[in-house]
Amino acid sequence: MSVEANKAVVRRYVEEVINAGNLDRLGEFMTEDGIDHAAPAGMPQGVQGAKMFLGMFFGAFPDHHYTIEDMLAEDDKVTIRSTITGTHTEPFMGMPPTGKSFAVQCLETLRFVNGKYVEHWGGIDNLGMMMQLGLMGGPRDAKAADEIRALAQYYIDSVSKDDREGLAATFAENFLDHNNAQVTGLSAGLQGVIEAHHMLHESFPDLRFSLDDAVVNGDVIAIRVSATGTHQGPFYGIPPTGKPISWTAMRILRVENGKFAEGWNEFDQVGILQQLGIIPSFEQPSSPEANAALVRKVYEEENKGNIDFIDQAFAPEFVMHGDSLNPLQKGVGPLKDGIKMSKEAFPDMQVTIEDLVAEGDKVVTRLRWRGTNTKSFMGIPATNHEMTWTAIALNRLEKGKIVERWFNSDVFSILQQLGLVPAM
Amino acid sequence: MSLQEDNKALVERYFDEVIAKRDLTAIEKYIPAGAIDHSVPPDSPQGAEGTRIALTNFFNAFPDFEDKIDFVIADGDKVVTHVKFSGTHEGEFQGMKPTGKHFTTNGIEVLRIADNKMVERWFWFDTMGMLQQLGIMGG
Repeated sequence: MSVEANKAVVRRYVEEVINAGNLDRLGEFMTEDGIDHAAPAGMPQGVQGAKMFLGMFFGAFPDHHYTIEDMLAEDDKVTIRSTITGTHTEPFMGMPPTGKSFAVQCLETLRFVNGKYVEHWGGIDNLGMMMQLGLMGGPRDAKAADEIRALAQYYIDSVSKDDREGLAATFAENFLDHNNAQVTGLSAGLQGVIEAHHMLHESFPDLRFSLDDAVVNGDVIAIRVSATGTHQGPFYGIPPTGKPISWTAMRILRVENGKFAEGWNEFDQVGILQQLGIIPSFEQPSSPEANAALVRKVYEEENKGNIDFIDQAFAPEFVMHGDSLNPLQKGVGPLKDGIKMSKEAFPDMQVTIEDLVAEGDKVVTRLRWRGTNTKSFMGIPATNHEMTWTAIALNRLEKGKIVERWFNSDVFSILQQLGLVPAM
Repeated sequence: MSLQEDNKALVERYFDEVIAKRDLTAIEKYIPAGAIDHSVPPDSPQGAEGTRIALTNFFNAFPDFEDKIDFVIADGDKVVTHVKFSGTHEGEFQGMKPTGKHFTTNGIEVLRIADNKMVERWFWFDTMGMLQQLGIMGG
């Protein structure tokens, strides 16, 4: 065959096998016992070896592309100078995807007999590729924090996909799990990690993990994870309840040579068992006395200036039905802002509970505030007078938290004292 | 002789005189000041001077360095050499202390010839294989 015919075979090979990622047709271009002089020692030769090598490459870089820059031919040989690009979106030689792209040059020579190549020399600039992917160029355990974060994200995504290969790409073979004694019969190392996550998937087939937070310091990452799943298979011997549940977990993982080498794990086992109805909820039925004590404490803490206590005493879905000075509010934010604003205008402000009545889930308080108006309040210049005002608040509590409040204050008297309306 | 045969002979003389006989003063006969090597890092010195610096470093790191041509292809104004090279790491190499280890690897080089000089170069060699043999990188 002529050198031009051999070059034409190379062009078809590049398009139809390499760029199409179609290894089934490799045998049309390479003889069964073809020799690759660049194959690492111990790699199989021939079509079988080439399929293994190319398959690994195509698998790791699904968008790989080979562009011929130049071809030089003489007698039975063709040298191809090319540029290869790709994005590392799948594991490569056991290394988890970095999401990074590479563009490197490649020099190869093929020797042809009857339109098929029988020998191959040369290859890709693999060192350049590894460096562009950040897989090399410094000790692996000195990876940048964002790469450790990416590793954690890949681990979490692999759990959601029940992807064993993803776990194998993120956990070292001899991974030391400091908590796996919690589950009896679990293997050591990576195998144990795979078994533990697989068990979870058998209990919760729709299991989803999400990475809510990650903190990295040196080679250690702490992650906060939330999980959801429907209990459709046995879980620690508990028959399926069909209940959708959610739980939280935290893990600390240490990275060595680009993979997790050891880890500590805590997750809300009790919360899981409560949601499955196996053990009772810890929430105490709230008594009128307990409700009253909480409401008293809210005002005691307000007097001490501890406005953040509101976060503990009120439910996040708290609703306040107010008056003209305190309109309808949702959540605790406006409540806290209102108190802060008042405390700025009346720095010595104190509240007294003049009466308190509790029954069922409700606590009613009659309240009196006193304070000296030394700073402007709602745009009105400071009067520097001591002022006093009263209010009645009806609180409704659920599970020991204030969920709703109705509130009326003597707005008119406040406006009079500020000099905005004449005294009667 | 054809142009291709002339070009092959030029490259073979370069390998003999400059690399085998270590005559760095002969570099200018083969490589002009403005020659471009596409396979070196972006900030590397180019041309005859760049080659002189690179070879000096290489010969210091691998005093027994050998670079032998296995076979050559010539097409148009280009020559492709297929080389086998080897050396023992006895001096500092790119900041790496000598390991005393030996490597053997192969490479492919495309050279464009104009006016009897090598004006452009593309080069591939099994860098990872070399670093692994020197124990600088895990296998």
